[in-house]
Amino acid sequence: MDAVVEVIELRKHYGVSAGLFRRQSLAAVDGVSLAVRSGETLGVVGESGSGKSTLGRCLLRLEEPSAGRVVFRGTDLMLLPGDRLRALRRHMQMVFQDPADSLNPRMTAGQTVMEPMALHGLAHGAAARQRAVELFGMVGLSDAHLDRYPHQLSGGQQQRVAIARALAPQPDFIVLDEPTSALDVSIQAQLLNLLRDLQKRLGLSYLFISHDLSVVQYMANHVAVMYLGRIIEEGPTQDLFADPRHPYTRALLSAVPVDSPGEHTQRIVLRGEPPSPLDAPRGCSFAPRCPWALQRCYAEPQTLQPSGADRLAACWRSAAGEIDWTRPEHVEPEA
Amino acid sequence: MTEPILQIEDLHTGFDTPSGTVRVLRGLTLAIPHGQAVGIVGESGSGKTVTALSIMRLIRPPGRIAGGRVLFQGRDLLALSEQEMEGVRGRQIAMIFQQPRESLNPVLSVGTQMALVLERHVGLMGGAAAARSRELLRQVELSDSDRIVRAYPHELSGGMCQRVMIALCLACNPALLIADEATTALDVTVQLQILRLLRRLQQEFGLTLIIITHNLGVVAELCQWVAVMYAGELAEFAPAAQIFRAPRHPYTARLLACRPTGATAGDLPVIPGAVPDLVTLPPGCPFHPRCHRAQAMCSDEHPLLAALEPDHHVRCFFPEEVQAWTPSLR
Repeated sequence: MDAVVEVIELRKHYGVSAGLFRRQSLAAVDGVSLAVRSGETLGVVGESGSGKSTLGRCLLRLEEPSAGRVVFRGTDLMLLPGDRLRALRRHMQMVFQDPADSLNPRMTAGQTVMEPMALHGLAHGAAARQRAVELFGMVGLSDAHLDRYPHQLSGGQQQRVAIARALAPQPDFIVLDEPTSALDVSIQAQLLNLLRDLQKRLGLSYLFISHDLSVVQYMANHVAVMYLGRIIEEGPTQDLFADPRHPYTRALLSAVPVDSPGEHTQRIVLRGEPPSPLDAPRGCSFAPRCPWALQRCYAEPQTLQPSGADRLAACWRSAAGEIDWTRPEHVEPEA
Repeated sequence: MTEPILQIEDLHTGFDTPSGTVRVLRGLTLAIPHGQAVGIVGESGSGKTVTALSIMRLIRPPGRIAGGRVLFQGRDLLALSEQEMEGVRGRQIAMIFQQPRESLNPVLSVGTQMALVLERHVGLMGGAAAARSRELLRQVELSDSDRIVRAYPHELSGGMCQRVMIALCLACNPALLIADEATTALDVTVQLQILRLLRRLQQEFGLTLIIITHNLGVVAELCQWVAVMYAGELAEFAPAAQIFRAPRHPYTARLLACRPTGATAGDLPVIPGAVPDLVTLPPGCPFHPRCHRAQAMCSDEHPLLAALEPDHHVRCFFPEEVQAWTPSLR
């Protein structure tokens, strides 16, 4: 397997105040390992608080991980001094959810795109402008947009500028954090087509973070499902969507609203909501909501285990082949 | 179609700005059938939230309702005095919003807030109010009501806050509940719980629901009727099954098709361009610059809403053929 980026046992803990003199550790990312294959898209799905955005930021060392390694084309990012890291960052870029927040309101779209070229010493002056025109063409903007400020652009156009900025230093790898979630449905389709097209043309690799399962299904070759800071299931997209092996993945898929009545053969309505990472259960973090949890699940978490070809799942009962997906069991924990 | 509980007729709402009046609603006409769930869908700027605020008469300057009628159980809400309208808001028509925690008072416990509502609107106090509070919390499936009544909004999750908001709405036994993007901020597993709750309340109490959302899936889950809005007017209105099976307005058809599904291979169909600026609306049909079926007359003449079938209203000169939209195109 040819991996662009490999993440090994990545952890990100935050110290949060828990009363006057007490500090508590919050594990936003709790031992995540994954690999993004060259020219492919790895989708990361999860609900709010699952740690998917923190993972994306740690991966580029925009935030300092607490532990673990991030290896980019054989180089361990965690061991790099500042200047070498900056040089390497040229190859790893990020696009954020809200372009209105991620673009500088005082810079024109052209300046925004030319800035990283100057920063990495790639192009200056007329050459940089020429390159910006080229990039604007690639993302479906015209030359006329070069001199516009963000507030003069629509949300979709702003996100195209953000993509052009990410492409400016000619990266191999881009972290896309909910890149279409702030956009209207009709604009989302334009952007998804563009991102797929750019990937093909430029051989890019993506880490695509989203809460929207249909979007991830469309974009990703592989999918990792996160719950409370951990990956609980991973596999090739079509296999994972066709036959989820973790109860959470199955519930998540069954909760997506669909157009045609009867498309969901079985709905799994979960109890409650994801627990706070400050108050994470001792065993499997999904156990309190899991329709199939046993006493063992409440006591001890299962780690990711192989579950068929190229598949991983972190579930005691699924691994043992004990789950009848059509029959929820609802076992309450012993007091 | 059953008797409408709410009839919006030729509603015009605008916002006065230095660069002219932004006409957000341009002659909206829509009938909400009694006891049914009606979804109002549209993209940003389509006017769906302003529709809800106009019904509730919550439009504040520089916005104003410039004309039209909103008939609720036969009475024109726009003709009521502010005092009479106070008697309608909350008591007969209730509303929940996208950020439930912001709609709740952060410094009062849930129990206190419920007691205030019950005292002011229903005249219940003391033990009777406490008992009714618990009953309402049970109705919204908050089983641990002892803990919830003592809790403050910041101690509750988003889903729980939305349930509390719904309980507060139910306190007055309203006939109509308007939910404005009420599940948009929630996780999908929690969204499913709230959608189920709303459906149960509709069936149990005969509540009429107006569900305002950009999410077509939410509408499909819950609604019997769908109103599709574009640039401040109704583009299409029909029973939900018809909208999803055989949309007739080209905008609706493309909106449905451009979302990825498991079966999507290759490029997604797109709607080119962006939602128009309401200050500089194109002449003719507001959708024509983005429309794949547009012809010359679409840029000259403004189409009227027409009934293609008794229950299926479409504002388009060249609606989609029924056979043209089979599932294979999705």
